[in-house]
Amino acid sequence: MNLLEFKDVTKYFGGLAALKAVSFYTQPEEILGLIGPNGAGKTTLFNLISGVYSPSSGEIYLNKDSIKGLKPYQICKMGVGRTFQIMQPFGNMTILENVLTGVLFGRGSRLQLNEARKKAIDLCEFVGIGDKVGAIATEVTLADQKRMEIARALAVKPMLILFDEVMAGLNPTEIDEAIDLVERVRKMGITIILIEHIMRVVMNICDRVIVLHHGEKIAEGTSEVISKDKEVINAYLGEEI
Amino acid sequence: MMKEKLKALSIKSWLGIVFIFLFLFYYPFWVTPYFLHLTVIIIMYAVLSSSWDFLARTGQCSVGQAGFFGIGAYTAALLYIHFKIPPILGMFAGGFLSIFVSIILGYLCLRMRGIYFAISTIAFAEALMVFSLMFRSFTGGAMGLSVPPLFEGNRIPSYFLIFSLLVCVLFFVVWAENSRLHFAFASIRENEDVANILGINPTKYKILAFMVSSFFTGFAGGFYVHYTTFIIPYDVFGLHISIACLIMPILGGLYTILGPVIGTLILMSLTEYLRVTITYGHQIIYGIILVMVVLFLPQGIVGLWKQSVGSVKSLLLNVTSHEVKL
Repeated sequence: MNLLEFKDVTKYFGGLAALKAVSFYTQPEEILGLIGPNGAGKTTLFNLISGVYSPSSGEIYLNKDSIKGLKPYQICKMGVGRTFQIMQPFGNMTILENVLTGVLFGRGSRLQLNEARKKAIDLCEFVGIGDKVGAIATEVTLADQKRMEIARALAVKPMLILFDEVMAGLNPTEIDEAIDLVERVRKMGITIILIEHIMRVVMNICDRVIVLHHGEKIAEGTSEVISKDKEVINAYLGEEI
Repeated sequence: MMKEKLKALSIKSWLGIVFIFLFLFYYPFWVTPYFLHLTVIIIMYAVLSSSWDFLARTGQCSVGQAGFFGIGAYTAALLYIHFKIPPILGMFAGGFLSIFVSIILGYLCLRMRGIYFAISTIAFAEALMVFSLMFRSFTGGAMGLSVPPLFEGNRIPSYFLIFSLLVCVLFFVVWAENSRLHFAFASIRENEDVANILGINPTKYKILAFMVSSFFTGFAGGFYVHYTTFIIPYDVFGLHISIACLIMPILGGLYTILGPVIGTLILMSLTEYLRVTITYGHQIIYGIILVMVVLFLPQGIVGLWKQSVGSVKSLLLNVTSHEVKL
């Protein structure tokens, strides 16, 4: 069964088509990479899934239910979590409070404050910031803020999680840790869609890759196939030297 | 969590709390009528500023609280004049009508953010003022309305009535501070779009806060008309009421339990003191003090206190710290 399915989704901003008739689906527990040059429509696609925008035409199905026109909080409660390309921590809250907010209002049954707090601490430990739960979210390192965003996205108990450039700006060691974290998230039984510019990451962890260019899907397949695709090389990867 | 914190209080602080309650109980029997009147008005403003702060917790700055204050006042007065409805029932009616109006106004205006919401609430209060001036046969126009004094002019029961109302408001504030509501309100205030992605329906919580806030403001309006026996539109719908509602919490400390109350106490006492001692120009000094506070005390008085005083006292002022012991 496909958790997420896009059918000919088009999104216009004024006269400009940010996405043109894009169709794809996700397979269970896979890591689906989403690559393409700047302005290709990757983040727009995420915003369509999480309900920030509504498609101009076409249909989006989550678990066979149409989510077209639903509000972000409704889609969240159906099991979609996400991080943001430009990080959006609640700056006056601690890391724990950030994650706790997701636990309290996400999918699933309502938790007591104390249980929810335990769950939030577990999540912080899972992503590796268990020792910093009391720190103000904007006062920790970039890598820890990214971890906090991942923990917060996991807090809503998602079936599908959207990672928007979670590795950007990290150093090589941190990238290795992040790759490991993404793998562990997949092992929890969560399907992942990953926007990424670092090809090493894409080659390593993505089961399949979709390439967007000027709002159109120009290629789809395993990372092997994608890296040899002529059109992808011209549009995004560039020639091998 | 609340229970744990209550257990953590020492015998000394329990004695303090008992003492404060006894003091507040016997206070009206000790003081002169002038001070009792001043106290009643201060408590009424504390209700207004605490209920404004309740809405402010969701990041919405209302500059139209006078609208609800006036709705409550006129509802209570008109119900008494035309139907001889008892004053307290009239105050409740004023509160409930305010809730009803806040739901409609909330759906219309809470989709706007920041300054645009603030402007629309000013327009709301001003429109009601013009309305009450125009419909002379119904509202008495600029001539106002008068009702007989509350409790035959006995100020002591009035003190207990408005004091209970303040306790009710603070009960709501403590509840919001210590439940999941705190996280809904705070995350909407921080970033509404992210809150939405985390499964929080911003409109729902903003309207909830607006309803609570306007109920108490409306009720206080009903109390005001019966207590002072006379209102004109400018008295209850005027911008000075709306401004007072937001200046006092800012002075005392935003989003804290006792901040708005302390802010009201200090600002009102100061106004009264200046008014009595400096006949001309007391408002200039008042203005200077406000500017100083905004410049040098952005966290308010409670914020300053929390920085310098230990945990027991800050616990009494604000039960908000959600730190974890690992």
